[in-house]
Amino acid sequence: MAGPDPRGSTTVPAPGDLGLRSRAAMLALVALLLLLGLRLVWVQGVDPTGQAAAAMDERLTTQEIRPERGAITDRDGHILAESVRRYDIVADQRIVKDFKEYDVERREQVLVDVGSRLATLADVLDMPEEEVRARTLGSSPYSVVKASVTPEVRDRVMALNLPGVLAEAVDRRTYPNGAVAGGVLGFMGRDGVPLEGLEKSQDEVLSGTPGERSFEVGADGIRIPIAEQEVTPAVDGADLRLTLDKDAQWYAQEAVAALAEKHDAEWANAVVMDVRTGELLVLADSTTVDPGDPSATPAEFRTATVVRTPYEPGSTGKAVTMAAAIDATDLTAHSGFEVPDRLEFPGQPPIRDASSHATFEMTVAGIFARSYNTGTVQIAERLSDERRHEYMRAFGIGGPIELGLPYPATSVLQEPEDWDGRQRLVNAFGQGYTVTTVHTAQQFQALANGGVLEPARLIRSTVDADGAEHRWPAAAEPRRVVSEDTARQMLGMMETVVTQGTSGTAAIPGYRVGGKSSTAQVAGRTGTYDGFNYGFTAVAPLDDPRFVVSVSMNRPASGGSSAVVAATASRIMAHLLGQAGVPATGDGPQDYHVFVDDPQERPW
Amino acid sequence: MTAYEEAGMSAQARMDGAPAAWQQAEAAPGRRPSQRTPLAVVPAPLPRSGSGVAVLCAVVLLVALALVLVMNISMSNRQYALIDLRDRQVEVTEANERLAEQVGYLDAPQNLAARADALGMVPAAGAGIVDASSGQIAPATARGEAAGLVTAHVGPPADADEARQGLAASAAAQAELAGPRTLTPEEAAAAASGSAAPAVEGGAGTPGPAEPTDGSDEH
Repeated sequence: MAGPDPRGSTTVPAPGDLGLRSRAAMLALVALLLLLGLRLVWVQGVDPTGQAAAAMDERLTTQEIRPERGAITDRDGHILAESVRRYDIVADQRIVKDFKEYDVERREQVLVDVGSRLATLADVLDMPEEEVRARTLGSSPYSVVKASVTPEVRDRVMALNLPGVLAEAVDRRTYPNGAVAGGVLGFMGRDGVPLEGLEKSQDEVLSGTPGERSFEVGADGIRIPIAEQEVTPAVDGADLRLTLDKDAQWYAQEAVAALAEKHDAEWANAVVMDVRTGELLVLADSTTVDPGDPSATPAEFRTATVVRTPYEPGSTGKAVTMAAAIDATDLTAHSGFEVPDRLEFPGQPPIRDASSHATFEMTVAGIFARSYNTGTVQIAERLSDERRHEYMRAFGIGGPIELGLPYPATSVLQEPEDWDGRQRLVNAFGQGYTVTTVHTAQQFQALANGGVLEPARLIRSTVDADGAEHRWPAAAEPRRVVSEDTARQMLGMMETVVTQGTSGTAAIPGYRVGGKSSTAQVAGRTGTYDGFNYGFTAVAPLDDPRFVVSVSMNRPASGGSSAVVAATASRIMAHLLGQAGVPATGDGPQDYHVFVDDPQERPW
Repeated sequence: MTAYEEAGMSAQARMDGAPAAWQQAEAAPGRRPSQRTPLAVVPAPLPRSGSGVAVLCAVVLLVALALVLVMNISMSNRQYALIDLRDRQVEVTEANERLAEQVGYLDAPQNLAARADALGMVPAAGAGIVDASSGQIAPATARGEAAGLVTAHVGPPADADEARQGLAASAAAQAELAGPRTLTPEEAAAAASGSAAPAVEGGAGTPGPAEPTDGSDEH
């Protein structure tokens, strides 16, 4: 093989030797690879000791993504309730001890006395030092130092670097408008459980659905970027948009609170309804809970009392009696009746008027304006009990009104066959059955809306997290309860109440206002009638009705009359008309004669 | 020159891309048959370029490794940056939330009314209406009432956090409205009459409905 070319000689024999050796090496490598492969399969695939799974578990972190609870807003989107981020400062008392800290200036680790740091913590948390010490020193692994602090305070606490002192993020509700509509909104417990009002009944809408995120985390706590992660996004809760008007609500609450305070009443409340839509603009109580601090309010006033308190309405109930008679018979607002101040019925105590008066020849409108019971009973007698009951039911008496609160507004009306001799008479003027102020407002809404009852609404819509707005379904369909002509006559009769009847205090200069007052006897706990409920329900402007304002005051201890309640209703109405920019036309009234023959001005 | 070398040369020539060398080889066909066999061992140039491939492989490997390393480092650095950004996002969100809360509190109707009252303001009278067709001005409605704003009954919103901390809201905090300072009645009157604000006598006035000033008493 020793040729003249050295390259040729080395090239030719090499393959043989190399092949043998490399084959051996290759074999060894393959064997090793196989071994490693088997080991891999053993560890990853077979995993007899669960190490791979354990390692995965170690790395894999699953976090719940909390959905944000929806806000509750008024009709214009002003926030009434919303969730904010707060922190609970908690301590693991076992770790709160003297500790070493790197001193930047001295460039060394120094021992920090925990006592001095706790004093600073007390400063930051604005708490007495002893209290902070009591809550941080000890042996308990979990102790709340201060609940619900703002992120600002949290940052300052964390900057203290106290071992064992942690901040837990929590979502808390705030109610920036305080007691304004507080009873309707409701509130949540300290643990975030909804306890009252819309917070409770609409919890499902507000809460949303939690999501989940799983990802792998390295030993240093940083997410491993290339490892796969799974995310199920949370669906935030929807916002609840109410029909209430924040400003009108406040004004009404002020007005009824002033009324109740002045006359030392058990309670006073007000309902304002949009005539055209049935939307409730105001649900006001004289005592309203501030959802930010419910414990400051007596327990019976922590709900929307105006919705929860049925009572015998008294003379405002005459509106339904009159409307039914005009609608179902040939009676009109002008029809005449002989009206004494007491009326005998066989087997019954006489029906009396509030004050004694001479017997008058009066129109239906006059009876309504002067609120004479005797005349009203005569008008009611023109209809059968069943027919009258039908009308009462159509106006919503005896049925619940569902507003989306945890409880409906309730009303009790017995079936006509169960009416006793007295009940069928007093029914005509609003005794013997119960309604809430919401019911009364709804009756007058139907009359002001040309005879079509629009069911009361409190929730206007829900607004999803993505901004899509869904109209809240009404609890019932709109329905015609009386003819348009009857409704028109009723408005004229209501105006007569203000211009010539019981309620001159309800007048608003520049506007045509109508309404009906009531002075109802209320039964005490013993069942005897020993107190009064005063009410007034106003409708304005009569040229083109926009609002119904119904105010009620229960059991005033000092003074009180339907006139003062009418004045309050008129105040609220004036505010609403101004707020809505309803022009004051200054038109003269289109009311009716009170008496069949002149003179129209006669003593009461 | 051996045939091998010649072949090598011609291969070199080919590699150099010289067509003349080709033509030369074809010009001497007589020598070909006897020198055919050794020509089969052409792989000789390959080991030379083989080292190049090895270097190339190594370089590719190294570059790939370096790339992976750089990518990994930058990705984990990005993670840290991401965490920093998240922290800042949380910070900004929280600041935003705090400010929104403050606005909401100041926006509460009872707070607005109390503030307006402290400034000596009265409720607006009804708006005048001009009938465009007739040019008539609708009859004037009631003017603003001096004592119209009653703000005593609906208290300022409670601090929900204090309630949760079990603290009774302090009376001072309830009476004192957070936010821009309100004028005392004296200051409001002074501001209305155009003179400079006088020094407040005897400290701050008690919060609550302002006493009607001369201006609001006239009607």
